[in-house]
Amino acid sequence: MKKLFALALALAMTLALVACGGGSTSAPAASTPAPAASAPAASTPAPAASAPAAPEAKKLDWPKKDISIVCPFKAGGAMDLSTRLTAKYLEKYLGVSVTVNNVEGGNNWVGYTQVNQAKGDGYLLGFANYPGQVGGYLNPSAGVPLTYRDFTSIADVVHDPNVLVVSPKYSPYKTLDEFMAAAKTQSLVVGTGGGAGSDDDVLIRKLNQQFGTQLVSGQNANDADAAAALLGGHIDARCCNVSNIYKNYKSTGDDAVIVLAVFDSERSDFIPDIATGKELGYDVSGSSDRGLIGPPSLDPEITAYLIDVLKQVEQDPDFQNDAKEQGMGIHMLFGDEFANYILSVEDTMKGMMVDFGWTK
Amino acid sequence: MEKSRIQDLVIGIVCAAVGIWAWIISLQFPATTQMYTHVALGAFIGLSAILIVWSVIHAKVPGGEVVQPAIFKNPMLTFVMILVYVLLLDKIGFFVASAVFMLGFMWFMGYRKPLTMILTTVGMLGFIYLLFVYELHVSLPEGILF
Amino acid sequence: MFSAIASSLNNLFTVEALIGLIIGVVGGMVIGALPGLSATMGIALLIPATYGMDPTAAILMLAAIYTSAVYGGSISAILIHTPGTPSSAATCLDGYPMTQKGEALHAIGLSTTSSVIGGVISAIALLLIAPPLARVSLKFSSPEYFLIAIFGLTLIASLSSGSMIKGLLAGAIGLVAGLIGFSPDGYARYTFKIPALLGGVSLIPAMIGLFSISQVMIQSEERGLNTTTVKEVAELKGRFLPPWKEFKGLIPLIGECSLVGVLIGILPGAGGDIASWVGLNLAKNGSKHPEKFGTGIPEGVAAPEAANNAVTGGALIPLLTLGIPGSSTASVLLGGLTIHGLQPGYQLFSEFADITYAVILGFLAANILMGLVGWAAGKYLVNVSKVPIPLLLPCITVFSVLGSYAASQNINDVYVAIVFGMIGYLMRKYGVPVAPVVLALILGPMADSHLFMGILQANGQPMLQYMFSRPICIGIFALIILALFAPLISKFISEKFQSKFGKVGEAAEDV
Repeated sequence: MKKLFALALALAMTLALVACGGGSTSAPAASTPAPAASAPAASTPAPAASAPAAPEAKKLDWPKKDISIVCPFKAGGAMDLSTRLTAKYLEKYLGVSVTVNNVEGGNNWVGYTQVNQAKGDGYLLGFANYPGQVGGYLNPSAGVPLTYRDFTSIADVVHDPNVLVVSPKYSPYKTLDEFMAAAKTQSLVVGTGGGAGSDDDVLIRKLNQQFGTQLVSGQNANDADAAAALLGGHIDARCCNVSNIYKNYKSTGDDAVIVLAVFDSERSDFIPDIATGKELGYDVSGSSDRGLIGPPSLDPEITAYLIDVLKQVEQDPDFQNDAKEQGMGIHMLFGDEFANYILSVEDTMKGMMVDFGWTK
Repeated sequence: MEKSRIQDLVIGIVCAAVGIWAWIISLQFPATTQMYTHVALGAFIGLSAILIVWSVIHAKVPGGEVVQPAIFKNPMLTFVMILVYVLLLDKIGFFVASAVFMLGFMWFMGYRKPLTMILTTVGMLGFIYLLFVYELHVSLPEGILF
Repeated sequence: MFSAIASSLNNLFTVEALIGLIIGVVGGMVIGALPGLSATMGIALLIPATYGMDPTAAILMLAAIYTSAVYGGSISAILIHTPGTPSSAATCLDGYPMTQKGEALHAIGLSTTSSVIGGVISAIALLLIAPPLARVSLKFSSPEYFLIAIFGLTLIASLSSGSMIKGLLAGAIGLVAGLIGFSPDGYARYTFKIPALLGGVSLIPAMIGLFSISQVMIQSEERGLNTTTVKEVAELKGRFLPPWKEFKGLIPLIGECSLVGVLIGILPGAGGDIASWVGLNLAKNGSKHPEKFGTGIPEGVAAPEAANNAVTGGALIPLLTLGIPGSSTASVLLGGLTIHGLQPGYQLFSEFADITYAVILGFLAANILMGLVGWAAGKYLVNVSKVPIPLLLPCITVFSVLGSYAASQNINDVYVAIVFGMIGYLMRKYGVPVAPVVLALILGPMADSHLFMGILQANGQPMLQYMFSRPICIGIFALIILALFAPLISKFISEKFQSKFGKVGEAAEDV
């Protein structure tokens, strides 16, 4: 009886594993023994067959083998999901396997360094987070020798604007005006999704710099910590991103929040009834951006080609759907546009070095 | 003094030395960072000091028999082999390095049945390949072979 | 709620969901048993495989992996002194000695039974009282977590068998190692401008080094002898299911540890790794023969295993009701939910109740199923303890290297593992226990970070004053005092008792 049970189980497992493992590989790579695609191929038809003809395909003769994207963040996190989404659609349009490698360590710099040192042939790319990466190298104690200029900024893909939220249960302030007015006369603690230099933290400091408020950045270790602190009434407000709150901001349960404003140049499609800070008289923007980067030696023709492909991806209704389902705001910036955006972020943060505690 | 007390004394001194060195470096940290750092280092240095004192004045700190130097030979050789194995990982690739290491280590430990050795090695690495590379798509260090 | 449960059964009893359940349980056990592959990693790696699946089946599979992997970790902890996941480190301490005595089957049976009970209790909590428990978890914030970390650190003293000083010193070593990397206020400590060190010492490679690689080094002393793990007896003995008398005696302990596990699980700041140590401590404090811990006694296996599996259901509670993961593994599950368009929170229990309740019921089933799988496989697994050392050690080493690498695909982690392997070996030779190092590596940074955030939260108020204005803090503080003085108090009381009634027998505790 016991033996039979064990045998049946083993058989079921083997069948399931074979189905599972086989199903998630895409067309086998001819040359390298690189691991099979981790991008979902189960629900999309075989890539080569339906890939729309990408422009300049014949002229460039690239890609000829599988591509790897290094994601310096852990699997399952927001950065990882953004990378995988992008990888899935690059695979569709490029016709080769695009895998995601999560290389953590060294506060993301092991991964970033790998991208920086990769060859310029375009088979190893990376995904970066801004302002995260900038904070990583501006911090003098870290000793990071690279800056954003040591990468090719290909395209910004996901743009997740900052929002300021309070708890309906514990907060006496229900509008941005009330909140900011109070913050000018007393210090209020605002939770963040990361320490000094994270996007939430930077926004709080921008508000302080521009409006003379006394907001204290909670410098929480992660989003979960800040979320719990807010819902439990331990902090006055929380700065996070649209993707964190868009699905339950209208909830009436224990997870209810009031969104005071979204800090972007225009309203977010996910929370269209929430006014921007600008509309309310507080013209400040902040966001977490995640985009595709490459090594500094990346062949400019490949960069241009990737940009063209991404322009197509941006218009693809399947892509738009997927992104919407996962709460990712898409707002692509290409090439120089992207690099200039990063430069502006870097400038803003350089003006906050004393605030961060990174210089005297 | 008995050997075991000398052992403990040495442990205490080494730990205290590391702790003090770390403390000196920590004096350059910003004040907020120093707070917790000093708590942790303080505990470390303090406990090392207690160990030193105890080993000097007491008969024996319980735990751990006296270690004869001769016994270190094999573990140290093992450590060197493991170190070489790891260094070779991204030179000749995970699977080749592991195969070489496994066969070598088995031989080192005195095993002499070639058939079992090879079967075990192939079986293990085959299982790892199936599970990690094929199923879970984890990329392992690659070298010249695979 | 009951009508929601009834209608969710449709979702649960589909072929896809049931296959997901089975793969999750068996796959999870394998993942957990392999050194270095933790539940967190397993879920992270399998999320992409769920892309094409129906949401119920997908989430159910991931949840099943969670609980099954936590259980699976005990298998390698027991058989080869290598924690398969961080939550099983505590199980090594008594599990492995049992294997050495030839009682591996007994140990695995205990672990299975306790894990199933812990998991089922947490599943029931998830099913019936999730919302109120979630509200409890919200009352905890940084000041409370800081004190919890301190409480955890005080456990080190009582967990050190043998020399308490050396145990505490080991804990301090862990605290110091935990300093490397960024401080919570953004200053890189002891990295000497090497970016690779910015992340500090990674827990899993350090743990693999301290437990597994050091064990390989220790056993290599037996070179040329062709021995096996089982030392003292020629034949393996013991049955899988614990004898009724023994089990009856363990029930209160298993129950306590399960409740503690659920409680720790619902707290977003604490996870399975801490729960197993708290459980072990509960066992030791409540035991009439605390000095026997570490020699291979049933309590030493049952307590941590009940606690760590109880965490799994507990961690799902704030995750599903509030979107706040109760453990780091649960936070990866959050990614899985997101991919399938399920944002956690209120609507999981209203709009998507069908899916949610199917998952919860499936999770309950998974805990029971993993017990069955363990029962079926146990007899074969214990043969590992009869494998000749020369064959076993190379395999363990390769898995250790693999496990250290796979977590972050970063070769530096493997170097961390071997460095800690050497440190662990030296420590164990000289009588300094390694378990406190792992505990301190987890709790040190936790105390550090929550102290920092707590001070910011206090917003100008002196920290002590802030803490003592919070009832839960006072409660935890009382626990700390109790934990520190209880062994002394009970020893005092028992000595008084002895001298009064002339009772022979309590072994004096070494200090």
